[in-house]
Amino acid sequence: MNYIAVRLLLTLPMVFILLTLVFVLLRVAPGDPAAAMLGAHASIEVIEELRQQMGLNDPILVQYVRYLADVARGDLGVSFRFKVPVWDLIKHRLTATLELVLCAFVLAVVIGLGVGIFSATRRGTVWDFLGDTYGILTYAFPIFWLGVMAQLLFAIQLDWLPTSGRFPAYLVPPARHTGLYLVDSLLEGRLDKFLAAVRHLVLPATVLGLYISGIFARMVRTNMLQTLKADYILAARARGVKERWVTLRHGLRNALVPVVTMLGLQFAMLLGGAVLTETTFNWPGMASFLVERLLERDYPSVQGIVTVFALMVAAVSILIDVINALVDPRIRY
Amino acid sequence: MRRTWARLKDELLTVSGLRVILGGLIVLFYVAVAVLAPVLAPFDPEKLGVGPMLALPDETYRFGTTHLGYDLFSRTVYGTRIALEVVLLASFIAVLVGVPLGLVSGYTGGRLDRTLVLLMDSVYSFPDLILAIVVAAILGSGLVNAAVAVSVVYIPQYFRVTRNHTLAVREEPFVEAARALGATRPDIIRRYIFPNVSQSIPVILTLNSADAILTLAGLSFLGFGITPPKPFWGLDVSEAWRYLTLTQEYPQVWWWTAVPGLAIVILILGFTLLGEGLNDILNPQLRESQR
Repeated sequence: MNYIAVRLLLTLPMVFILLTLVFVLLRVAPGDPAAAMLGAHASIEVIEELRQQMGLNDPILVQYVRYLADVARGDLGVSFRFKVPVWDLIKHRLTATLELVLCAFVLAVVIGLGVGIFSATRRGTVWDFLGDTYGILTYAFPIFWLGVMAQLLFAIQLDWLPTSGRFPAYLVPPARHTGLYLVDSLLEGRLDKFLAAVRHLVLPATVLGLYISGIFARMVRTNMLQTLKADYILAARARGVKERWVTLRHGLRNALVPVVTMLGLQFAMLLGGAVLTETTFNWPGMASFLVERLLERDYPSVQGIVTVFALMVAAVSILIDVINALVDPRIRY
Repeated sequence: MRRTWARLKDELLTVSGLRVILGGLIVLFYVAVAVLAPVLAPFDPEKLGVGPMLALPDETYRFGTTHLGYDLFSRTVYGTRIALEVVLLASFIAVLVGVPLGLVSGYTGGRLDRTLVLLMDSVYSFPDLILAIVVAAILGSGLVNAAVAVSVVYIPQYFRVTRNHTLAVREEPFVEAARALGATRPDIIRRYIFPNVSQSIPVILTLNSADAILTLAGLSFLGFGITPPKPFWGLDVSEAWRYLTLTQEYPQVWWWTAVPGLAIVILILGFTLLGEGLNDILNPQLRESQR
């Protein structure tokens, strides 16, 4: 418990720096937000009044402190375009993004562990080479291109799966409990809704998951190889422990700590990849919303969305440390 | 000399060596295409209506044409120029900022080092593409702006590698000797530390180039960085995709999406193979541990 508290404290500076970065970036952005909000025909007096109201005329430090205080209170500001709090705009999108990213993550972990362990235990064989090639290939494919090609093939040419979106228009989305359609539809006891949600998820989640799975497989392989060379592995084999047991119980568990740590960094990559996947598949998530807001120069929304991303990254980094502490009892402060 | 050559020949015949050769050939091919683009491309890549709308590949339009009558072959060929220009520029900026900061931070240590490490780690932990699109959106489109947006992502990587390497080299006896002889700090960093640290830069440079192209392609797919009518692969995939969501019919759309996408894939493969092969050959310790 103590360990977790220490980690939480250590993450604070990171959150602080990320928030500062977001603030600075968006203050450097050209254009007057007040003028943008009122449109081309507003008079200078009206614009000036709005600037005053929005606090844009205050010294930059005052604005900075106010921003930090707002974030601390969970206030992400008001969208210029929609004139409603940013949080109201993104809270549903946040769960959509989470659903997509989590499914992709699970897929990547399953494939990555499978391919990684498989190659590591067959080092130097054709299988190892194929596993390596898989890693290099999945990395080389731009995620958006893979998405568009998958759309062309599976949705348009073969018509097996829906092209885009998160849920069919002819069904009422499940009542919100968790915000994850897969869970909510089951809670409602509606199998048809669950299947509809799955059908929409298959393509984007697979594309996003494949993208990470290759890198993950290579990390698992490298770490497994390193652990399998250790003396305790030799000792276990000498004692006559079954090879499968040696691999999973002695090898994998010890290889897992660096892998879990890198998984945390991969999660950030997944969020970046989500921007592309969500856009390709018209997934109503936070990442595609960020692109939309950026293109419209709705900077308060952008600031709010990027703040949430920063908090997510920090949360995952804490989570990873906690998991590592659980997997490996040697890790303590 | 002959022994070096013999050793080199041995190295090149391993898997890593073959990777370096294959990757190097691919990258060289792209460089050649970029240089020879005006000779190779039969049409102006930015000119509308040089061909009919959505023609299938034939002798005149080797990769077919797009919905606006652009010649896809010419655009793909000229795309190599933009890709390599942006990557070169972005790497240059990232090295120019990241390496000196890493050297100073690693050598000086103390509070400056802690602050810089925290700052760079924070930037590093943030999703690459999200950072790049925010910067690209703020800067606006254009080749240089796109390069800056891409470089922001890679500065922390050069910083980290340089700093960690500097920390190790700093403790070497020859550095201590230089210090004892009264060499100044800039002198030590420049003449004793940098030459030892700089060896690791080419490998990261090659591997980052692959990543940088992916980032740039992602940026332009989303509508940032490189914008129409500039010929760039990510942009062409995006145009085809936008068109596709409207009509869904044409087999031409397959060409229009597949060709620029493959251009990206092959170049990334080239850089990755080259970078990883070099890494294996230049860092034999790492290779041992993987064997």
